[in-house]
Amino acid sequence: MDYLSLFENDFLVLMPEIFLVYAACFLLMYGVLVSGAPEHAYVTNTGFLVILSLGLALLLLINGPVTDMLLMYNTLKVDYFTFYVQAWILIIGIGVVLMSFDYLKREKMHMYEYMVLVLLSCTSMLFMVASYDLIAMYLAVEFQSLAFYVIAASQRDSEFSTEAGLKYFFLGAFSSGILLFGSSLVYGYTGTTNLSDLATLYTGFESLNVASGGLYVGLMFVSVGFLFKLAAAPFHMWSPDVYQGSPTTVTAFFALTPKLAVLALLTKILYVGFYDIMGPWQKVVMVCSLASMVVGAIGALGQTNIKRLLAYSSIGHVGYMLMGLASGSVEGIQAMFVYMVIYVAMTFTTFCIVLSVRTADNKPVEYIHDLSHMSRSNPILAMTLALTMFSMAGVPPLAGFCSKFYLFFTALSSSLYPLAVVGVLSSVVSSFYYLRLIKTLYFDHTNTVHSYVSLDTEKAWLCALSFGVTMFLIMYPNPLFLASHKVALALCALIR
Amino acid sequence: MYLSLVFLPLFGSLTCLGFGRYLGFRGAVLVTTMCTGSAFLMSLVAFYEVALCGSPVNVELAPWFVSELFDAYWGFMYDTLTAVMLVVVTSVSTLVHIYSSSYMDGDPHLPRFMSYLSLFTFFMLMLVTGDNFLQLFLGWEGVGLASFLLINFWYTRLGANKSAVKAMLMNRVGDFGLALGIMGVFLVFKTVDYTTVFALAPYFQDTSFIFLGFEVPLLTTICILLFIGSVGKSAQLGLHTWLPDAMEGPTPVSALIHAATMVTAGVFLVARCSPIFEYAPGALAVVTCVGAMTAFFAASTGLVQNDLKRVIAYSTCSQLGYMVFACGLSNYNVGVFHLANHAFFKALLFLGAGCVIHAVNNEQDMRKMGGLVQVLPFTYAMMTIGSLALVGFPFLTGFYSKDAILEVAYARYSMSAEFAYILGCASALCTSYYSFRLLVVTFLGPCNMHKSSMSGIHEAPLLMSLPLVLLAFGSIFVGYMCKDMFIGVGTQFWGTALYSLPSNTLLVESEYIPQDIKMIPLALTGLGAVLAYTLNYSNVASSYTFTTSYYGRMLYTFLNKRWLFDKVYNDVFGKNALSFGYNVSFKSVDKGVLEMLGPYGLVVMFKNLSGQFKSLQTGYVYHYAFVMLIGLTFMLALVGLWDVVSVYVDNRLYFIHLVTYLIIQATAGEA
Amino acid sequence: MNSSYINNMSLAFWAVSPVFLYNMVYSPNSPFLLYLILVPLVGALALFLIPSESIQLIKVVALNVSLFTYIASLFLWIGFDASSPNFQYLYQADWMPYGNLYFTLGIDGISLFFIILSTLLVPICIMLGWSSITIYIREYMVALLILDAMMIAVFSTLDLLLFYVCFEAVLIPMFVIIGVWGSRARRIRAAYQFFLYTFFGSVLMLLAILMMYFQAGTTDLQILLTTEFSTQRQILYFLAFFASFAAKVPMIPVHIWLPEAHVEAPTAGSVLLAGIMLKLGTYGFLRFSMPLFPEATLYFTPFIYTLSCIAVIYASLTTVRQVDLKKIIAYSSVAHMGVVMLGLFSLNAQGVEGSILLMLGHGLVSPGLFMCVGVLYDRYKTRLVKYYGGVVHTMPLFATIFLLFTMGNIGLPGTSNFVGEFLVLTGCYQTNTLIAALGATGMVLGGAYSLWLYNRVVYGFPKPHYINTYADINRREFFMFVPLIIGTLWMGIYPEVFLHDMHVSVANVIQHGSY
Repeated sequence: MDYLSLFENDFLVLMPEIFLVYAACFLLMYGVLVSGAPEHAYVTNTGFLVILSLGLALLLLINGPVTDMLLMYNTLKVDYFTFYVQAWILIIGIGVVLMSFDYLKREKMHMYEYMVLVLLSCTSMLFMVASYDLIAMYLAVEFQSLAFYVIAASQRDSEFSTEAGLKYFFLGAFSSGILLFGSSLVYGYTGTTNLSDLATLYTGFESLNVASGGLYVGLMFVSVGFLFKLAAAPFHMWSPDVYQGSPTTVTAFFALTPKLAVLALLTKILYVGFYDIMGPWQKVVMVCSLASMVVGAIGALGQTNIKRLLAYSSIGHVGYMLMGLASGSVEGIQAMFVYMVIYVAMTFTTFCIVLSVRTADNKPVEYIHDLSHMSRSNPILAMTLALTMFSMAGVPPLAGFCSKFYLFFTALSSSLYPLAVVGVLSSVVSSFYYLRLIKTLYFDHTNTVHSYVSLDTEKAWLCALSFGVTMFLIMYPNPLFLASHKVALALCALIR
Repeated sequence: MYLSLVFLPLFGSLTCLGFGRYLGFRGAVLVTTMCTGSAFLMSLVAFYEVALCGSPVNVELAPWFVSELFDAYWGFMYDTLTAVMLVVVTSVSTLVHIYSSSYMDGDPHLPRFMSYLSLFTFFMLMLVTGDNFLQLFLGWEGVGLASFLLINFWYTRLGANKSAVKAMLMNRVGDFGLALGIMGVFLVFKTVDYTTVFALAPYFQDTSFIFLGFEVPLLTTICILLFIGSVGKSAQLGLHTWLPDAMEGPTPVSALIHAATMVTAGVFLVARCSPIFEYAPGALAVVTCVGAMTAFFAASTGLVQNDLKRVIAYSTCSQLGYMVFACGLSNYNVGVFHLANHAFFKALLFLGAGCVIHAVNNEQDMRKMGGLVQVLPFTYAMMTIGSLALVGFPFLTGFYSKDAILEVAYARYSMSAEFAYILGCASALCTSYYSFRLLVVTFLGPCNMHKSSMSGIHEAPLLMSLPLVLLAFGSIFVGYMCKDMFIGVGTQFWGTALYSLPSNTLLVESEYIPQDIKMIPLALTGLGAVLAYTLNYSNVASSYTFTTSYYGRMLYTFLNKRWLFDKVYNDVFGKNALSFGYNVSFKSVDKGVLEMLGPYGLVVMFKNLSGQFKSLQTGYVYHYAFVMLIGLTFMLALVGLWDVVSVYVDNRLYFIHLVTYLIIQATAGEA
Repeated sequence: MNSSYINNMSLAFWAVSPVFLYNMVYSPNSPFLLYLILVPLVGALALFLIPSESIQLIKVVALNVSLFTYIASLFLWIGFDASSPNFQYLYQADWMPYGNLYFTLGIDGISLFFIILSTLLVPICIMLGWSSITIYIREYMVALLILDAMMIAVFSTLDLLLFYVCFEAVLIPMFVIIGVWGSRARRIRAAYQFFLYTFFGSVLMLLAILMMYFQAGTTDLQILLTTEFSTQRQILYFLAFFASFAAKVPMIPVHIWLPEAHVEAPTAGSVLLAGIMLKLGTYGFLRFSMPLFPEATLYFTPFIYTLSCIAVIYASLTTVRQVDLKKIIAYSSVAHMGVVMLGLFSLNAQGVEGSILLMLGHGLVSPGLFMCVGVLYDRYKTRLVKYYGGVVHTMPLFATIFLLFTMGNIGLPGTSNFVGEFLVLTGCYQTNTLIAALGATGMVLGGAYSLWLYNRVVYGFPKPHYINTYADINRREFFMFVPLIIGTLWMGIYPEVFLHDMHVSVANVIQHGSY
């Protein structure tokens, strides 16, 4: 083993991850040291330190000297694709922490661990995105899951939160098992776990007509494991419960980052490792995409709880993103990433607003009708939320449309007509419940007085930024499209 | 002058409408009457220049709307026909203006009334002066509007409201035909300009075209369509029901619109289009038959009406039938001659009737009058002159035209002409009967009035009498004076305004029919007069016996109910259309099928669906895990058994799957 | 801020504006259309800067901005070259050049008048809400101004995707207008129906647009016009476009949102719906479906004829039995739009020009009628016919105006609708006499319901039992009606000015499809 080269390059490239792991350790210590302090302040302090570390990691990432290389004995791979996704993960991490300050204070969740857990899960996801080997993949996924289980249950005095964490843990373990089993099957049939080796092995595989049921089963298991993490239907059952039970900021975190990271990883595995046996997995992804869009649209119709509603809405969005994955083309990937970014923006806005409204008895809003007074007490926020909902429904000229039209375009150009048609239809159906939210905001003239809470600075900035993206993206969407194109190209460069 | 002649009444109308408040009653009357009066004077000049001196005038104003080949211009054409109509319209209108100023005196809405009258005059002038079909159509609908407004003038009366709507609607049915006719004209001739169309008509004599999916002779179809317009406006059989009802309006209106001018627009149209009609023998036959039937139908109905104005209205209807069948027999000049004559004596009759009604405190039922000759001798004289002119008493105005019509009908020797002649003679009998019945019952018979109305009775004031006198002069002399000019053999009067094929010219022929035949109408008139006198005055009991007998009652009811036209229309068309509009289209389709398949059904379906989804979400971890496993199995099956499955996920089958699912859901929702 | 200050500001603004506009039109290559779209948008943004206490200022600014837009759009007409077959005021900017998508604007003789109509109606709507809107005033004005901009954009865009964007964007403010300022609880349902019907139709159109983009590599209309699609594809595309436009027109099986939306919307909403929104559908057919898919157009003509005839007769008969004033006018709109469709698909100059005129005419008359109903509603808070009667006694001026619009509605010669209707039927007559005859029954039936309505409301004996406060229309209301009245009569008496500018463009459409 050439230690020299190991130190020379690999660690250099992995600097952000390494930095984050160290930062986590330091922050844990910091937390332990100051946790005796009576005020909430130490949580906030930890939070700012987390932001700082994430920001530094981002800087490290951006200024990283290497743009494209395999490292750690081909178990990790860094290129523009990972760079892009990792950068977004870090940004989202920062955003989520920013969102959390006020919420934690109001909910009296004096836990610095929360912040550190966010940091740790971000770290895990950085690894996930970079992994280039089934083993590395599995380890990263488990790392991430572990952090998530804990963070879901972080509101210790809430039964819901505990239940959510537990459920997430059980089902997550189940899916991890499936994932691991799938990986081992693949390994058993091919003798390798490395993605590029797999790709080499499969070159022209389908035309060889080899009986390879076991391999397919392995592939299925791997995909299903990931689809579970994505909460794509029919593996979505956990997500409404977990979304509802977890503290709202955690819900936001769940709605944002794993979608990005897991989907990126799944894309990488399917495109790089298994591109030549696209037939089977494309079917699976297609079916999941269809099912998710339908479930997302219909499931949300009857919901009265905001977080459950948003859970179903995110299931629907995952369905749309999978459409891009299923198309199996460069444009598909591109569309998927465009969609992701816009989805992130819209979700940020939504959660910022949901977090900042409180009921009369100073509880966080839980039901949709709690929002009914918002258009009076806080007109600007109400308008923002309403427009974001229109955007989620995919009404032009808002950003939501931008993402959808490109997805439909790729679906059509890959002849996935059923996907496109069901996609538009379910977007019509789903617009129904988005409209319901708007209706609650504006049309119901209730007399119940709700307390008016002004936005804290952090959320205000976050909200403004993300809403700006939603509103004005259509005017000049070029940079986003170009960046995602570059991502897609970087990914496809790996396909042999 | 030619333009101001048309637009002066509009000016009067608008002034009155806009500034009536400032003008006051007198001012309004003055302005409108002056305007119409000047228009009348100008018409006389125009008549002299155009008709007598034979110099037609064309004024091209501006394009109205031009679309590719379709060109409608604001253009005015003055030929003899127009000139005659101008004189008729403006003279009667002026007189009616004068009459109304006194008749409507005291009505708070007098300015509005005068304004409407002038507006009507304007549209009527537009109608007769237009040099293309479109402008005719403008006037055509415009007079309809004015008629609607005037009938509705006393808008608090439900009857007035109803009849106004009825009048406009019935007219619009006619307009529907007219519009189709005009479009047909454009389709064939690629223009709606009279001159071009008339010049080209002979070239399309024997061609046919596809109409409503049938191949039909071209000119005949177009002419019949145009004639449908006439049927509506001139209250011919089928679309006549509005005219008697229109008597709900103030009496001057009835005189102006529903006797003298507007209703004759249909005749005018046929006469104007004579160059086309001449090449459409089928259409002429239709025109003749419809006209004849109208004449008879209306006359027979008029026999038993009890409302003073209604009798005259049916008489109008009947006379219009005469004019129309005269035109149908290609004797347009006779038709127009009768039109002009009729305008005078019918206006006289109506205005006279107005005087009576005015005198007896707005009572219109003849049965509640009687014996008025003692108190209203002047009115009686006027009404008598009018009636005599109407029935065609020798040497009065009606005589010259009506007899001429019957004679040409006899001289034609064709099936339709024979039909027309017989019905025409029968109507002459009826006409005479009801005219004299009216006189007898109203003026001569025993008095049936309330004392209170009797006490306030008075002869008409000067402003009302003056028009009567003038019209009476017209009724007596116009026929005699104009006969040779209008229908004299070889007259050059009409120039190119009216056209009839040489083979269709009958005037000479009619001079040579047997003398006995010529006397028949006169004899029938006499008979009618005698009958009227006997049955209503000297021997009332016999008429009572007749009407109380079984058949007598049937006949009486049938006639009194106007041949049950209204009932049939209401029951067959009105009711069904209304019930369709509510029960079928609104309730069953819009709020039924479409609502079920659309918003309501979908909402219910999605509600059910989301309910089912919710019930799947139990909250038990093992359920969730189980679903995941099933999902996984499903995926494996999908991939492993793709060859088997792929048949069922054929793109084309999705639709069927979807629909099946929808149906299952819908039924589940109901259960 | 006192009112004299506001007035002075408005005056100064108006004093400068003509110079500004003149320069804009006559300076070469100025993106005039873009400015036209931006003006109301900037106005809408500016409204957010005004503190919400100064309601009067908000109203005045909104009104001035919309009026300015209107005047500016008239300059569009002044600078328009009627003899040119090309699109004018062309403006192209990068939008997504990477995807070969450009932000292309341009107008021809067809879209010109729709733009003017929309900019005319918006100030009227602002005045409509002057006193009747009491909640969310700023939002109301903003929604109207955004609508203004979107409608200008939708009529001037020459890019399919951009058209789709604007076509849909109109939904947002309209949904809000119906839902927030509507009158009854049912308004929510109406708003939903409006939104979902349109949205459902148009997403299918989106798929078709994407397919075309996929095939031709661009969505620029001017390039697509030179592209030939196979007949099967044309049929498919046509159907998808049909789904979108038919819901908007609305054609018969998908029309039921319209009465709902009209009844529940505030007057301004109804005015805009009837005046402009419905025309989006027919405009779409004319601008996109007909020239792009000529073979499919011919293929579907009988189908559309059938639907439109049904619409005319069926809707008219339904109208006769309605008891809600607004519903009557709404259903009559369905019938009129049926006639418009007949004209479009007669595929000859008379038919197409007639239907454009009828659209414009209907865009004046039917808002007028809705405003009449609004006037009544503002006073008596009911829309049921049975409570009204003898209005002429107390509101003579109103009765006159109402009469004028009623006559416009039944297409009396001399009003705008007549010219349109007659040309449409003439055009139709040349293709199919049966259809023309069936379409013409609308004349009779239209007369039936309009006159019935007018009679019941205006004539008869007043019903003091129900209605015991009286006021004729006031000055503001009168001036709202004036432009519509002038327009109606002008288009009836001398429509040549409008026709003159559209001849070439219409000929273009027809020639292009070589119908």
